[in-house]
Amino acid sequence: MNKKTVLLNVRNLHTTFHMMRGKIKAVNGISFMIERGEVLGMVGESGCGKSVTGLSIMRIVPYPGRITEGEVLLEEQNLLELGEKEMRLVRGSEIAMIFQDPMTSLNPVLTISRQLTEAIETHTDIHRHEAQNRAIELLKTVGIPSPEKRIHDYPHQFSGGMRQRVMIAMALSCYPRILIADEPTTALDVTIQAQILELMKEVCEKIETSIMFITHDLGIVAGLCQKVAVMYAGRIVEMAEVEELYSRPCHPYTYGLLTSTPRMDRRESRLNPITGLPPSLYEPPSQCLFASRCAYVEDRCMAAVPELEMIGERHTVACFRSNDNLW
Amino acid sequence: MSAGETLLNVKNLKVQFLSREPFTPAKKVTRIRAVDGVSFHILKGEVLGLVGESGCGKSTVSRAILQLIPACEGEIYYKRKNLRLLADRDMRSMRRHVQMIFQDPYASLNPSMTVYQTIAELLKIHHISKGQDKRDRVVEMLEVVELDAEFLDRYPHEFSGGQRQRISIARALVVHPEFLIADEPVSALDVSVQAQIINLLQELQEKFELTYLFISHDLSVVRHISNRIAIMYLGKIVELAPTDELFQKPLHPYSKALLSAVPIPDPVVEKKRKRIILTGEVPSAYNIPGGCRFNTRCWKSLEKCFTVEPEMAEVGNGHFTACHLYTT
Repeated sequence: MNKKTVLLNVRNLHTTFHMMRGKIKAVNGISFMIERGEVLGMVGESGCGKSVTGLSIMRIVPYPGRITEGEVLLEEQNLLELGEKEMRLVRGSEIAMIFQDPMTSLNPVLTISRQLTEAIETHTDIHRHEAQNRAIELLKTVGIPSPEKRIHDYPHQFSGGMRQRVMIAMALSCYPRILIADEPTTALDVTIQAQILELMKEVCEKIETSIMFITHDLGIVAGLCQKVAVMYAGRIVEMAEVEELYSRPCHPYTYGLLTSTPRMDRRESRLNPITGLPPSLYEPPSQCLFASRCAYVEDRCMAAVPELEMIGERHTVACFRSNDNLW
Repeated sequence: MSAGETLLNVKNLKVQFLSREPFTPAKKVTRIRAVDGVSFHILKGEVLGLVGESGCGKSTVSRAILQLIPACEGEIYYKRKNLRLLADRDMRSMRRHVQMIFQDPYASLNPSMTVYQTIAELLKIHHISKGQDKRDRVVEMLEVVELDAEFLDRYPHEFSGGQRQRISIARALVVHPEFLIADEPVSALDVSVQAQIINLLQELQEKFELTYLFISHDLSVVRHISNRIAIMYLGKIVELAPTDELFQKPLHPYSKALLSAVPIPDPVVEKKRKRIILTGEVPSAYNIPGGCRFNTRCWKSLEKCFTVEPEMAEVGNGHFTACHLYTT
């Protein structure tokens, strides 16, 4: 087994939103690693904390959220210990992020040229004319036709798929070591999505950028990621290599997700939905937060929080019953 | 009417929107051909899936059927009555038989009406039942969609997306329609909740012998629930076939590209797949290409494809496609 280099090491991260009603534990103690050249999938439904995890790593969690505990180690350097000035040097150049809706993440009153060159000029010694040339090259790399002309256009003059390509170009302009992609294709049509995913895979492989791909789509993860972390109610409930996760899911939630998703390549007679609703994240109780929806729940599930434990090579699961061969 | 008879027959439906292109100074009126000659039929008891990407016209088709948007050409026969020729009053009573559920569970319920008021409103509009009988019917519907009767006096904001969709379904079914148009009913829901609603829709179809027009961009969902599927592109149907037939033998290049683009939650299958990655974007609806409208992105185009628009033709087995590769 070859030992890959660990680029990012997140340890026991807690991010809390201090609301009037109480505290929401959006990220409730998660730990994971991203290796060089790896594509890690963070899967979960809305409200599970996957987006907040990405924002926490970038340290752009919006108020009233705050990182309250943990470490985010980028190759030994704890990003949570950096001052804002130092973090700004990391953000955009070492770690970059792209979001779901490119229309709201691109500045509508600035040309693409301005926005692309801003990133380049901020993080490198390249300026003006040269920076613009670099920007045109980037647009070419992400497949924008006639980049020398289009670089002077505004975001609204591009289609959704094109805008997302521009976002990718911006994010990769300084050759970051890690790209955090938060649901980048959710708002796109499926044929455009296929183009964008293909592009991301290609370009990131070429410049050796690791990807943390945040999504709810189990299909995308299956095709793109090497490792997958499944999140539920602010915690990672299962993590494994992708083939292992899909063929041997050990957490009831993972199993539930996989058996309730219709597949395009075959027809079942009935889907197996997960009953109930995700729990509130206000002051979560110290127990397994999936218990109320779990078909395999026992008393011990309500008595303590299950921790992530190894149950196979590079396969961890947080469930008291993981060894019970439930299905 | 017995199962197997044609319930809805749409013939050459055209819907156009008039618009000025943004930033044009002169009063240049452009016609956007949102639906550009669509024909299909649905049999009683059947689920027809209508699939396509954004802008293909699938939602517009559904609204045109219900006369919520005026069609500019074509015929819409519901049980042999041409809906386009009906007087407003008659169309209104027709809507008792043809109901609709919408995509956005947060926008399709009136936030100032309780669950009871929302569902009962339909009974009121169609003059069905009064007083206690009305209340009983509403409670019955809530049970059917697996919601507690105690929710009757609550407001939409107190419910989750999935629950609101159940309320919308209850509302649509309280008048015992025959035909239900479901316009992206689960797209806005989380995956685990989607399955609940899809199962519910299937159960209700069997229980009440409903006929569905199921509109979605999600091919996996559509495969699961539909008997036949029509694929739309830029205002026209490019392929129509029984479900299994379509997935096993897609004919139109767009269908092939669409099917190959859908991710499958199985890493082993995904690794082996040969993806067809389409180049370019969907042309603007302001500027539909001449000849076959897919010719800007088609990798199998013939010379004819740039000059002659292909017509829908049967290729066998109830399988229709509009493509010069198959119709000589």
